Amino acid sequence: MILRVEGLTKRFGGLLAVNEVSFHVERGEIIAIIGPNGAGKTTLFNLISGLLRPTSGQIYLEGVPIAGLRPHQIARKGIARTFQTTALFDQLRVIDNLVVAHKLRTAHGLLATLFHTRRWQADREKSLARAVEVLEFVGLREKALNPVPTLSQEEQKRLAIGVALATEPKIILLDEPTAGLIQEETDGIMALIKKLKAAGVTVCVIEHKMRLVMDLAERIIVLNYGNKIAEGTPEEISRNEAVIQAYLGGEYAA
Amino acid sequence: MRRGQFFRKKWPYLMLLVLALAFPVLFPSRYVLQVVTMSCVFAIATVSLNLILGYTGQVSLAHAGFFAIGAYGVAITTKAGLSFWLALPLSALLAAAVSFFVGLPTLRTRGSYFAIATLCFGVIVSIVAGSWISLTGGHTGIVGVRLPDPIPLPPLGEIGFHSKAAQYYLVLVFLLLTLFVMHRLVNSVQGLSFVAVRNNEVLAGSVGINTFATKLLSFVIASFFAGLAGGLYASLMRSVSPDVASINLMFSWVVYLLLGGAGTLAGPVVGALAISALTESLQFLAEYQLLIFGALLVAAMVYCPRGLVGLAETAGRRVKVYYRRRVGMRSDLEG
Repeated sequence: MILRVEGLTKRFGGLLAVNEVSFHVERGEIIAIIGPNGAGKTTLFNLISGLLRPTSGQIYLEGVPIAGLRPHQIARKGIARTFQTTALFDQLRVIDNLVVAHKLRTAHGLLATLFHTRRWQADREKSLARAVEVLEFVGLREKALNPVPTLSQEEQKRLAIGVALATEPKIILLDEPTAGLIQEETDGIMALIKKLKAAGVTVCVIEHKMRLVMDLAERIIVLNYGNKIAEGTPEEISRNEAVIQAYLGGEYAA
Repeated sequence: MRRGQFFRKKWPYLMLLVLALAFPVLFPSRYVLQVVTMSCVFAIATVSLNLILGYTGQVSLAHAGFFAIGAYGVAITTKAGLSFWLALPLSALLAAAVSFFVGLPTLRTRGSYFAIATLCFGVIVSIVAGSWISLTGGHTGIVGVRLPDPIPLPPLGEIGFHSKAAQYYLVLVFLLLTLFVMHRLVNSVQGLSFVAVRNNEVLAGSVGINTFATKLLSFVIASFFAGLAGGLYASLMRSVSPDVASINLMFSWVVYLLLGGAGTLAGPVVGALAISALTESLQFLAEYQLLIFGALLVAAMVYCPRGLVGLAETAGRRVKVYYRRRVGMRSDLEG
């Protein structure tokens, strides 16, 4: 078990955005989180990645509690994430997006930077090698020196996943990686996510496209109004009464 | 082969360096040298302002405050008998140390709130300088500050700093040192992380960059060099007054930076030298000068937000693209 979330709750004033949600992620699996708009999926990611502090509950990464740590500390522990509205450093070149994302795995100080010490050179080579490796993985090798705004929507989404990968994460959280893409592009991203799994990366993905979720995920967690209403294999979820009600409307009772 | 490549790539910079070294020979006028020397002092201040404002994207208006700390530091300690060569680094370190404690609370604010908080610090320094009469001499300030002490050079005697040319070379050395440090910083992962914080602070945090520590580092380094520039200023002007902490000085650096090109290495130097030259040649306009600068600034913000250097880069790129298209050369992958 790589990630374990226990009784996680986030309250914004009177609104319970996430209510007592518990689940776990096994090493190397792809898990999907689905739910109607406003179900609390992104809030859940924000809690796990440290962007928000939980009101109560705990998050364990490989058994170590991490709830309440700052985002950069959680990234160092090995959780990477992407954002729903594709977030990139669009003022940097493609390769520099990856090099800067690998900074957390380097350990030279200011003086090493000023004097170009051996340590600095070793770190620089390591970061560049990692960046090139990631570029090849996400299929953007030829675009290495391009400015980010010259990339297509799909390429930008690939790069965003690459930026997360460059941090050498144990688990990667993808927030709607195919939002706003057409079918062929969606297939491309889906193939990339499968490639991630094949490479041994644990993936937790928020997704709206049912076909994609059913095809990709080994387990699905369903949120509605901040509550976890179901968990299971794609088969089980597609037959689950509460899930069908949540998506198709009607009165929902726990 | 490597050396040949070095010269092929860097020849424009070497030409500039030769020009800078030959400047006192080409323009021996004391007036011109004085103006250029002072512009170079302000260039150091502007180059360091560029680190926090241009690269890290935090609009710090405390820069004149740190400049003043450096200036008063050198004036007071050299008056007390300390060697200039010790007083200068110590004063710059003092500016850096103060900026650390100023940055701790103020860098928790963002955008215009940070600008206002740092502006307040500048005002506080200027008030303290004007009121702590026993230490700073109040509004009259400190006069008769020593020139930099001569550097002994056994076989030849010593290098003194009475001549304008010697003062020019002194400031040039510090300007080059500042540029060297900035060059190393900016062209490194550290520099990328400054830009990353400016570009997208949330994403920077989520890829493991400690955004607060990054901003603080940038702020402290910038203030160190502001203090250094202040120390040189006090010693070469031979006096300091609370005016050095004034908002006017601060805003003229911001203008140099924006017109020259924020977030580029050459921008602040180009801005400081070009605007100073323009100011001198527009002396006859007296207070109407400001009108021209105002119009220039507006025009620059609208038509070339990346300043003169940005304009030159865009032009250079267009020429290159045109050339490549004609020659039919493929762009090569090179880092």
